Amino acid sequence: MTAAARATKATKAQKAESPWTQARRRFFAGRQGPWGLAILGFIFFLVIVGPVFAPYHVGEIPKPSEFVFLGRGPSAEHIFGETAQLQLDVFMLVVNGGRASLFIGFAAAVGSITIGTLVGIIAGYFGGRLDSFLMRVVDVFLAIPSLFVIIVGAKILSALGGTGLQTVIIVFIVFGWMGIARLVRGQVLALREMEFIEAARALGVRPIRIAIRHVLPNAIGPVVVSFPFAVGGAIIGEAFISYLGFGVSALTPTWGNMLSNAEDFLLQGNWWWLGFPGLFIIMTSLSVNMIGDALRESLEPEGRRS
Amino acid sequence: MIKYALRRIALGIGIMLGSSVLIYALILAAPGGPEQKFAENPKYTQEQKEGYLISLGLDKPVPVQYCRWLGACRRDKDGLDALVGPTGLPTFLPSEISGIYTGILHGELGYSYANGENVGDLIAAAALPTLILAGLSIVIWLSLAVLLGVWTGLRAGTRFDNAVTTVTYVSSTFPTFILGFMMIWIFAVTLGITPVSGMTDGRLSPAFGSDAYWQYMAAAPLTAIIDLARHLILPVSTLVIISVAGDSRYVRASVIDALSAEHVRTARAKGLSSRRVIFRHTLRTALVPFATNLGLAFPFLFGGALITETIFSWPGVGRLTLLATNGLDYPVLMAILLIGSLMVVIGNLISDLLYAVLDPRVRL
Amino acid sequence: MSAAKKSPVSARVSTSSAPLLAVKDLAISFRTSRGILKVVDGVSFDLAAGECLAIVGESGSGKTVSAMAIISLLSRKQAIIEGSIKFKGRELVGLSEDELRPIRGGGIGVIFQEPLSALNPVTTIGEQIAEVIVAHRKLSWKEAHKLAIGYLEQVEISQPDQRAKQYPHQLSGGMRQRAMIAMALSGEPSMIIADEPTTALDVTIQAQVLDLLRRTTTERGAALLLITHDLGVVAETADRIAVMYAGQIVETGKAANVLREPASPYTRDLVTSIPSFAARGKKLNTITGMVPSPDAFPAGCRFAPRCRYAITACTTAVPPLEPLKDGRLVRCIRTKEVLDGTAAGKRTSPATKKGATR
Repeated sequence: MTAAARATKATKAQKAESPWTQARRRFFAGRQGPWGLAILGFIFFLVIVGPVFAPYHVGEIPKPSEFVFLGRGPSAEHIFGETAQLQLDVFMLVVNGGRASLFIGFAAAVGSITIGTLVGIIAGYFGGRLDSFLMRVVDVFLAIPSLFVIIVGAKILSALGGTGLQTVIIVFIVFGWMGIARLVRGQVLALREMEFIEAARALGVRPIRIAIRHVLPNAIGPVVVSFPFAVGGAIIGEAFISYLGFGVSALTPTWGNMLSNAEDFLLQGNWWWLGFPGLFIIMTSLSVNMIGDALRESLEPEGRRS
Repeated sequence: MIKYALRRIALGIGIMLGSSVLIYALILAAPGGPEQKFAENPKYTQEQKEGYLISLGLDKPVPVQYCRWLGACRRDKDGLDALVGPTGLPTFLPSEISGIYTGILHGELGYSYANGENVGDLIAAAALPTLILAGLSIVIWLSLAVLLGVWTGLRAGTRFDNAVTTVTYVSSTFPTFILGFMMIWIFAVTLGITPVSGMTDGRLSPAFGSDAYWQYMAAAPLTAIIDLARHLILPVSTLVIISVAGDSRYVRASVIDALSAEHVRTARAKGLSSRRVIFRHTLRTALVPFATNLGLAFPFLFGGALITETIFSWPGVGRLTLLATNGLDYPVLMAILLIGSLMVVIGNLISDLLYAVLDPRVRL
Repeated sequence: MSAAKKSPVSARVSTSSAPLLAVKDLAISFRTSRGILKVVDGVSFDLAAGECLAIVGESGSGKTVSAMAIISLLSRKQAIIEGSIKFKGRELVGLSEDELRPIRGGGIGVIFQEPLSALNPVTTIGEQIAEVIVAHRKLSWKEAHKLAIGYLEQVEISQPDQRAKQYPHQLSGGMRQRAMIAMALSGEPSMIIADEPTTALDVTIQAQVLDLLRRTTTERGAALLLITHDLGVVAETADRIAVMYAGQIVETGKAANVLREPASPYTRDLVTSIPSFAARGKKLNTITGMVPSPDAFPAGCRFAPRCRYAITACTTAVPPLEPLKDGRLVRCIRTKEVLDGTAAGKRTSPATKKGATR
């Protein structure tokens, strides 16, 4: 009988929990979510608090010694080693570059997801010609190979005089909103047909209230899931186009710029200059993917795939 | 089926028109075209400059310029007359019928700002190395992805499956270019068993694609092919590792889904051989969504290896794109973006049609 | 009931000859995240050649799981099957997939509940029937395809040669279930398991399909194990009935006897909750509460918490299956009081009385 009592108690507790509480519990019950958060948290900690512990500035040249062509590997003084030529501290470069990279990642993700969600809700909720027009626009944007157009777009923006981070962020937003728009539109369309929405409509609830109270909270799941993936995509994308020299100006340290500067010296054995920013890019990518997958599983427990 | 195909083709043409507008607009917004360089040159008089603009048709409104660039408007006529070719038929029809030879619709992609070469020739020359790299990678990657996905899917939950799934998960999150650097560092720099980059060994052979190269290839085919193969190892492995990691997980998930499907239980209840249960009833349904992805691999053949080509200095379309971007070589860029979009649209079309063929439930 | 007339074999149910199928002390457990759960416990029943036995119960009673265990269709990783299942004298528990293969489809055919998902969506109907024939009879594909059309004809599908080339989604629900029956028949099995064969169908065609199922099995002397929650289906089709509740059989015997005069409180509640069985003009009975889940089976009689006749003794030990005079078995310590109508329960006696179906 106690087992039965426990069972009823458990079901009651489940019923009392809001879907968000349930999702949070599932998120932290798994391994992927907490580990992903831990890795990302560690990166954030280093990038933001790191400079406090470091006894030197990014541009500080340790000793005005004789000209050294190659850098020096990791040592007690420079845990990530020193760069070739200027002998900059790689740890400081990674920390400072990380700030720019993470900022770009989050800003681009917030921007593209906001625009995508707005377009998706407008298209799905109003339907009709506006919907078909917006979806054809999405089709057209999706048809152009994204990496190509992002590179060209970044180059054009900087040729027009755009500098630094905002160029990269704008390009990622302009060419990154379509997937979310399509996803959200699908959700809204499906929700419009749901019985509880119809019930609310039949009860005479105002459309704007339906949209805010019923449609938005239920459509937000896929948006939340796609956020970490968007952050990861933008960070990797920034690193790649900065590596190519079309991104953030070479004077601002970002992980991508470091790769670009370090590439030539990789062949001469200076693996740390490229290796450490590379490791941080991998860790960031892995952690946001883990968080995204854990979110997907906890928000869409029945294994719904879209 | 035919009706469905025609409807999809019509939609594809619409999307292509849309993306041509978008690409045109993008380039229009960009600085540094020839007219700008011309306009900034103090040696020319105002009259000469205006004459130049008129000769390029740049005095016309933007929609007309676009229409002429596209090849749907004649460059020697204005207004509605511009829509009819010398043969009296609409200008957008093929050159043989309409008598119009200008514009991208009729294959006139223009000339590179950088070296004055025909853009079509430039792209064709770059397309071959990309095709070799991407084509070889696709074949290996698709077969490996199916093998690994089916293998792990049928053994889901075993230790072997857990090990493979963990490895594929981590590697699927790797950025391609970081993996590329790792490959170079490990195999080319540290172990020294593969070339670092490029498509041919410059000490032995002429540059790939040149006339000299084909002569060299004809003279010593074995040496040439071995050299090419050695240079293919790292870029192909990079592409294959990244793609197999993601796709084998996808295949694994659909196999697991299919295994728990009711019709697979029916097949077991019917006493069919396990081979027939797996191949006919499980994999036949599990691989339909993956097979339709083949269409999506199509654009990859043209531009999917951009990152890998850059890392390994592969002389393909990706590298051409970077060179053209660096030099703001707009005719080349526009052609690449357009061909890329065309590939995407055709790939989606293939994917949809393949789906309709493979899954009888799809209503046509 | 006309079942006895339709199927003369049922008269021999309790003769000494070995039954076609003999299930003894079947227990089925599942490995779950909450530990090992026993969902079926101590289930025994026989099935004679040509006979129709209906296993009845609410969802979650273990009836489908028991039936699927017979030909081992449960996941081998999750399900633990104990006890004995003898088919034509051969023990099925513990057989490997290879050893089971000739029995599945060839000895025992299965009809599933939802034909749309139980049929392969990307294979034609004809092919799905023919592959059974090829698997169990030494025939070529060509002959099998020809035979398949014959089976479609037997289940009264019009234009069988056309239908054979179609895919499941192109047929109507009733036609799909007919094709499913044809598929089960095509291995010429001596027994057919039908798991809720009419539940997914429109009410108007349920009777047709049920009739077809009964006729085609009777014609070839095949036994039918019918899994259902629908007592109307049982009354029309079954010779015998086994009522399951929470993984146990609570009452089993001749269908006519059990339905006319249920001896266990659960069967009684079940029968009187159905309009066609309840006395006219009386309020329909309802059973309060829900079937307990396997991790919360009560000690003692599993129905006790919901039972109107329950007394303290019911909650201490699981009552055994006791025989009645008419040969049926009942799992209830108060059978006598229940049948006499003298039992005092937690609730007032329901509308039901003897003769409700008379």
